[in-house]
Amino acid sequence: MNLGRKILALLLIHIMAASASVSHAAEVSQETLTTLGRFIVPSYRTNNAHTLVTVGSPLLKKLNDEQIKAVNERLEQEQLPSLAYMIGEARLELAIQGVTTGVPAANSGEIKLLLPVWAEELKDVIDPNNVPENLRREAELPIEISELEKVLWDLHVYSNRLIGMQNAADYAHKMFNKSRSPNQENPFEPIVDGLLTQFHELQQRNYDIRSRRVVTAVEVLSDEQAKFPQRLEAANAIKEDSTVLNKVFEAVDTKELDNPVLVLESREELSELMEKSLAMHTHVIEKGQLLFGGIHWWTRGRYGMGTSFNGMIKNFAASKNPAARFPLYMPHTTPIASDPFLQLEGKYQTPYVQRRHAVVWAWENETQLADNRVPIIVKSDYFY
Amino acid sequence: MRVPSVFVTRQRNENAYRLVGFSEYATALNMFTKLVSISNDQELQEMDEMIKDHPSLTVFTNLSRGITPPTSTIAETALNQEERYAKHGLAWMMALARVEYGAMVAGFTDIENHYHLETLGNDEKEAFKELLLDGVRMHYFSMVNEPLGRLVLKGNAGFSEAFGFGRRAIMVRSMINALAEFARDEFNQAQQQELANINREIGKYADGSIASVSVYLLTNGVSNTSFDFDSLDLRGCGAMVRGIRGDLAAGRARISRK
Repeated sequence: MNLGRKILALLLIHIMAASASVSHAAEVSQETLTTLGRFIVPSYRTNNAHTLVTVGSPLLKKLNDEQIKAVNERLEQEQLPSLAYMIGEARLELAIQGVTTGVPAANSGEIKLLLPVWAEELKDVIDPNNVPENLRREAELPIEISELEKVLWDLHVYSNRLIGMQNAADYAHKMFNKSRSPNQENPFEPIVDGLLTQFHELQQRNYDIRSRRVVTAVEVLSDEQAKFPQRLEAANAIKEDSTVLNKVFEAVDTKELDNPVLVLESREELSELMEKSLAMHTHVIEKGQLLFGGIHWWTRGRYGMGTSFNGMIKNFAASKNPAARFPLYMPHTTPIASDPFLQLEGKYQTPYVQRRHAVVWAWENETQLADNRVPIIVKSDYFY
Repeated sequence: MRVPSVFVTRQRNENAYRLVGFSEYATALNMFTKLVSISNDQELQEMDEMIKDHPSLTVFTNLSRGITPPTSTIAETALNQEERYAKHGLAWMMALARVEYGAMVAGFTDIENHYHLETLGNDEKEAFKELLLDGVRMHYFSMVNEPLGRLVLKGNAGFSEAFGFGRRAIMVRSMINALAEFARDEFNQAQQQELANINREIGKYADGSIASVSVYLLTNGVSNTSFDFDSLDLRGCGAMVRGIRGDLAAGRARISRK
C-alpha cells in the first residue's frame, strides 16, 4: 500500500473511531436509564427535592455534554424538563426550606449548568408588581378590625414567600461566588438587595396596619355596647399588636423604621392606651387569645403541608429541633373546606386530606431493618 | 466486640413531631380546652356563631359512608336525603383535633394516653364519638377489602407493608378502646357485638403484621442466638482466644447485646 493510501486508510479508521466514540458517548447507559426511571423522574413528579438532588447531582457530574444532551432528549420525549432544570429547581427548593446539609455539594461544573436555571427562576421575584396592592405602603388602610386582620394575613403569607425567595437568592448568590471567574459580577446581587428592600417595606406596612388596628381595638373594648364577638376580636388584636408595636418603637428610635401611621398624637399616648386596655380587659383578652390562637393552630393542622410524603410529613429536623416543627406550606388565600363527596370542576379538594390518620399510617418512618455492626458482650468463666 | 446483625430499629417517639398535625392539633386542643373551662354558656354559644361564619372551619363527617356496608350496626344514618354532613362549631373542631392527635400518638409513640379523655367535655362528647366511629369504619372496611390486607393476614406481606398495616391496626384498636371507655353504654347490644368483632378481626391483622416481619427476619436476618462463632474476630493472647472459642463452642459462654 503506498503512503497516500496508508494515510487515507488511517484517516478513515480515525473518523470511524471518532464517530463510534461520539455515538457511544451519546448513548444513555442502562444504568442511567434506571436511575432516571426509578429515582429522578418519580422524585420530580412527587416534589421530592431531597432525593432528586441526592441522586441527580452525582449523575449530572458523571455525564459528559453529549450524554447530558441524550438524557435531555429522552426526558423531552416524556414531556419533562431537562436534568439540569430538575436538579436546579430541586436545589432551590431545598434552599427555600433551609436544608443546607445532608445533600451532595454542587461542584463548579454542576453550578455552571444550574446557574441559568436559577437565574430564570429568580428573575421576577423583586418585581414590585408582585407585591399585592393592599400591602403597598401607599395603599389606604381599612378601618374595621376584621378587614385589617385580612390584610395582616395577606402580609403574613407574602412575607413567608419572601423568606423562601431570600433563602433561594442567597443560595444562588453563594453558589455563583463559588464558581465565578475573577471580576465577574454576581447577577444575583441585585435580587438579594431587592428582596431586603421588599422586606423592609413589608415590615413598615405591618406596623402601619397594627397601629391602626390597636387604636380601633381600644375603642371597641371601651364601648360597653359592643357585642362579645367584637370584643373578643378587639382583645386579641390589642394583645398581639401591643407586643409588636413596642418593638416598633425601639426600631423607630434607632432609625431603622419610620414612625407608623399613627392616628393619635403621639406614641406615648398610644402606649398608655394599650397598657390601660390590657389591665382593664384581662379576661376577654385571655379568651380572645385562646380562641384565635386555637383557630390559628387548628387551621395549620387542617390545611398545612409538609415537605414530603405528599405534604403529610415535615422535614427530618422536626424530630429533633422544636423550631423546625413550625414551617408549613399554607394556602395563600383563606381556604373553604370542600365537601369530599361532591365533584369539583377544575378545583382541588380542600383540605387536601380530610383525615390525616387515614393516610399517615402508611408512612414508613424509621422502623427499619438495620444491617450494622452491633456491640455484644461475651461472658465466659474462661476469663477467670 | 461487634458482630454483624439484622434487626428492627426501635421507633423513636420524637418522630411523631414530623407528622403534620401532631403539634398543631395538640396546641389547638390545649387552647380550646382552656377556653371552654373559663367561658360561660352564653359566651361559648356566641363563639360557636363566630366559627360558623368561617367556611374554613367546617368539618365534614361520615367519610366512611361510601364503604360501610348498609347492614353494619355502626353505620351512620342520615336524617334526610339532603344531609351533607357538614358540621360547625367549637365542639367539632375540638373533636377533630382530638381524634387526629390521638391516632398519631397511638400509631407513632409508646405513650399510653392517646386521646386525653380526662379533658373531654360534655359538649364535645357526641362529636368525638361520631368522629371516632367514622374512623373505625373508614379503616376497618378498607382493610378487609384491600388485597394487601389478605397478604398481611396470611403473614406474607413485605416488611414495610407489614409495619404500615400493623400501625393501622394499632390506631383502630385505640379508637375502639376509647369508645369503650367513654361511650360503651350508648351502644346497643348489636353495636357492642359488632365493635367487639371488629376488634378481634383487627387483632388478626396485627398478628399477621408481626408474622410477616418475623418471616422476613428469619429469612434474611440473623438472630442474636445463631451466628457463626468462628467468624468472630477475636484478638488477644492466643491461649485466651483459644479458650474463649472453646467456651463458645461448648455453650459455656453467654452472649448479650451491649
